[in-house]
Amino acid sequence: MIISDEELMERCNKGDMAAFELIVLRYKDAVFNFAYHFLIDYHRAQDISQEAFLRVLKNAGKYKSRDYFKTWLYRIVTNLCKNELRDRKRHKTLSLEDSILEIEKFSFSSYDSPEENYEKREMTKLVKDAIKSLPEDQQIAIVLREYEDLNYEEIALVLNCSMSAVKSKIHRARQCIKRILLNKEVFYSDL
Amino acid sequence: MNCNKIKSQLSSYIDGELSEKESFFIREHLLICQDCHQEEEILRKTSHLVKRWENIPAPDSFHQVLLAKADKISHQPQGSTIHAVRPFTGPRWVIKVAFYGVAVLLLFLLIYSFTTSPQRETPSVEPHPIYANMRNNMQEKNIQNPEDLPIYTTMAKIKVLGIWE
Repeated sequence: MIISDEELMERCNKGDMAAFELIVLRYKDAVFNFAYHFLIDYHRAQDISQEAFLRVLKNAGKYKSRDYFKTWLYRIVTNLCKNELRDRKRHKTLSLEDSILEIEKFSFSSYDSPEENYEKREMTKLVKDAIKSLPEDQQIAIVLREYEDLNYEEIALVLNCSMSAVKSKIHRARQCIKRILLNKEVFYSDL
Repeated sequence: MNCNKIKSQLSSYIDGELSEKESFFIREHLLICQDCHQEEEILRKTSHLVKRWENIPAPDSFHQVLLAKADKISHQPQGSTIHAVRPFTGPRWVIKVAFYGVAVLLLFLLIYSFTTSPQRETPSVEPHPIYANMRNNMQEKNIQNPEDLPIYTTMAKIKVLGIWE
């Protein structure tokens, strides 16, 4: 029998660290990936996602079981990532070159041929640049949809907006990415 | 539905976020409209390209480091985990009223302290020793009028001669 997230949170609130560990195991990859795709910084993504889980533990008492745990967790990570980006804009800590190096470091697979790796790296760079050029809310919506596989209703809960707003954000984001990729002469017919 | 309306719903259609009825209309339209069909293909491929940026698993140490941090928090004494002082959770207007109340009180105290400050008393000046001597001389010689004192006449003389003003 699978214990629901809501039940685990209830146990967490009572100080059950085993329940907290189970939550971490369930969501660590998803949370880390979201932070990584949003920040494009491996180490900061690790810090931010750990901070998100610590906030879950600290605020377990504030969690209401009527809230959907997954969206509550993503809302915490989203807010932390937004703050991080604001700090970064203020201090300009990660340059474009640094973020490209980050991508190169982690998009390399030993199973692919050098040509395939090169092609994958180039495409990742294009996609990353396209996503980065989007407004913040469109960026969050598209990352949650494409990498985290959240449906529109869940995204609306994370962003605290209506379903129709989410529809429009995702549509505009895809249109924008499409235009950028077409401008960079990505050949859609080859896919 | 016209092409613009169809195109604006294509993303939702691709993501399976439309009702059965809406999806049916779009599917029918795509069969007869080459332009919309091409747009749908491109959007699907865009989504596919975006997804090619791979997911990366959390680092191996993630779990251990996090649990060590969490352990520290859980061993902190009760109540110190989030806030050392319990935050005020009542309505915000109470905070505002308290703030303005304190401000008015301080202002009142300030005005009161200025208006009721004690009058400055002129410092008591000790009489010059010469007057004390004069008084003693008058008592000793039983003189009522200080002009009868010899010193006074001397001083008057000096003053008249303009030696000392």
